[in-house]
Amino acid sequence: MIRRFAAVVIACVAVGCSQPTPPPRVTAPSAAAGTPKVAVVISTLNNPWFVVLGETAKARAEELGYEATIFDSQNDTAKEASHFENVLAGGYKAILFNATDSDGSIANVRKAKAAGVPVFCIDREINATDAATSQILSDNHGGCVALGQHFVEALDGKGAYVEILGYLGDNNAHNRSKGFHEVVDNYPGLTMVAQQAADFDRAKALEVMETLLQKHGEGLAAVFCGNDAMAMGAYQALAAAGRTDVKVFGFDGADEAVKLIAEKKIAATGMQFPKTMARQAAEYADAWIKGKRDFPQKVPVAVEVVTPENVGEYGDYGAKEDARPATN
Amino acid sequence: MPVPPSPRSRLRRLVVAAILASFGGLLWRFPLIRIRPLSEITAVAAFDPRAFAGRFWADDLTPALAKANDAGEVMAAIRRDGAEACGSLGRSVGLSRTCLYLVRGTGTIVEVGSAGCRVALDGGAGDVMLATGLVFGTAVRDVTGTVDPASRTDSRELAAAASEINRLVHERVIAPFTTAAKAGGRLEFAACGQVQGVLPADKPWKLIPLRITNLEAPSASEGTGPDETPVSRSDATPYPLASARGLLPHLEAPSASEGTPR
Repeated sequence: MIRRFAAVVIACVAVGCSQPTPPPRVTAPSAAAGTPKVAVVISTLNNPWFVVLGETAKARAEELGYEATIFDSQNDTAKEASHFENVLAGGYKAILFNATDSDGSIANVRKAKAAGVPVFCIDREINATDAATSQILSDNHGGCVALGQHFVEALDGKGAYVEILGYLGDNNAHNRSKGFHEVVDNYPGLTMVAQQAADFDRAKALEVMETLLQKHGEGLAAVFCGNDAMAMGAYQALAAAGRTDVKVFGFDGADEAVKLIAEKKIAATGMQFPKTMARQAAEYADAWIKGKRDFPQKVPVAVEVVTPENVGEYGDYGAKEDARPATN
Repeated sequence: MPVPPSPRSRLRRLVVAAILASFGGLLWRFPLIRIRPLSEITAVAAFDPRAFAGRFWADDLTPALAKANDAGEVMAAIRRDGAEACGSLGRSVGLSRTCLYLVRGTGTIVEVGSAGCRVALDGGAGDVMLATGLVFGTAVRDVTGTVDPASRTDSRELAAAASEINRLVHERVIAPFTTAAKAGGRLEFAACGQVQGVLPADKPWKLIPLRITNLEAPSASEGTGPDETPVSRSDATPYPLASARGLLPHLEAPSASEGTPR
């Protein structure tokens, strides 16, 4: 018995007490599997902006000849991990990926990479440059700097405001807030009376705004929201309270927000071009499947400020005259 | 009364002890999990945006200014064909529609106001508006094309770097220039400009000055500026490094090792 135990211990030490790394899984050839498949994994479909992102990626992948399926992670990294397991087991050729968490999603991307399946991140960054094949990302910081400049002009550099933050596990929430404050904090006449997170969620933002109105409603001049869904929620709360004098600023370029800007009910938003990003990701995946391997790790996409003055130039989640070519 | 172990049993125990000791020794030498103080990890991974901005200024921006295109020629090219001009004289980042240009020129200050310092370019090439306030955004960081977006895993670090670069621009170029600028003065500049879509014909092109050399002060009768003091600088050297104190009280001047404007 002791001899057997000793032999096991020695063998264990000899092999380093670890499981050998499994060889990378090779996806089935497309000819054998019929139409090759591409997975579109989206952080949440509980927000129209992400629905557009996912649907556009799916549509472009289908145009390019793939069978595309959308997976909804419901802002849950565990669900996202489960989707990745299914995608990798299901023989998908590529993953168009909108991450749930900048750090928490890295492991899933690494798992796909180890299995030989490329991941193309859309809109949301993961904090690793050696995992995804490419990341197509909005310049959230730069966009909110521009939005901050417009905010200062719209309020003439003075007034009380509240900030509703997005999901704090996502870099975008930080970058947006930081870009905004980089400008606004230089104007002592502008006072932030409250800052609260609503996780990029419209319903939560509505509740948060209702609470903030009770505490800080008097003299409130504006609300800056980390995305349009929250801006819509905040606007709903303000409209219900009869406070249409409070200027609402969002970020995303959601169609509903753009329409309300045209009606001068929302002051401004940052157009993120979800369709451009989604199409590019699908085209990168197609190029990868066809043999290309050299992709830029990060592809920034500038955000443009949409105001009542220029709202006519925007719509349908982008600019009306957007002739930018895809880069392959 | 306990029975003393037999010599055979004692040998077995010794063998087991020796094996366990060697196993323990191996784990100590090659641990499966290594615990390191958080301070040690953050010290290695910490990103210093201020040092990054200093290096960018010295190693990337300053050499790039020498290759800046003539502002008048760039404006004319943009008005002819924006896409063509961007491809040949400017650069866009990633999938962005905004095009960035590094330009230089000489001209005469027409007016100094809250919107900036309006300069009529020599040869009637048009007017530009040199920024005189705080600088925001990523235009200066990105205009040289030397900062790879993938050089940092977390884009928040490069956002912080952009803020620091903007702070340097204000501190080293804009603040001293704004203090001395007077209508009628002549200057030579290098600057960064961005264009999205078309360049309006009826408005001067807004530029972020990156280097300004005062060529000639206005005569006493025509010199009017923000503080109504006469221009004293007439040397043909760039404005010196100035402390941001008084303008941005929460910022400090960078150390000499972070790069010196040329």
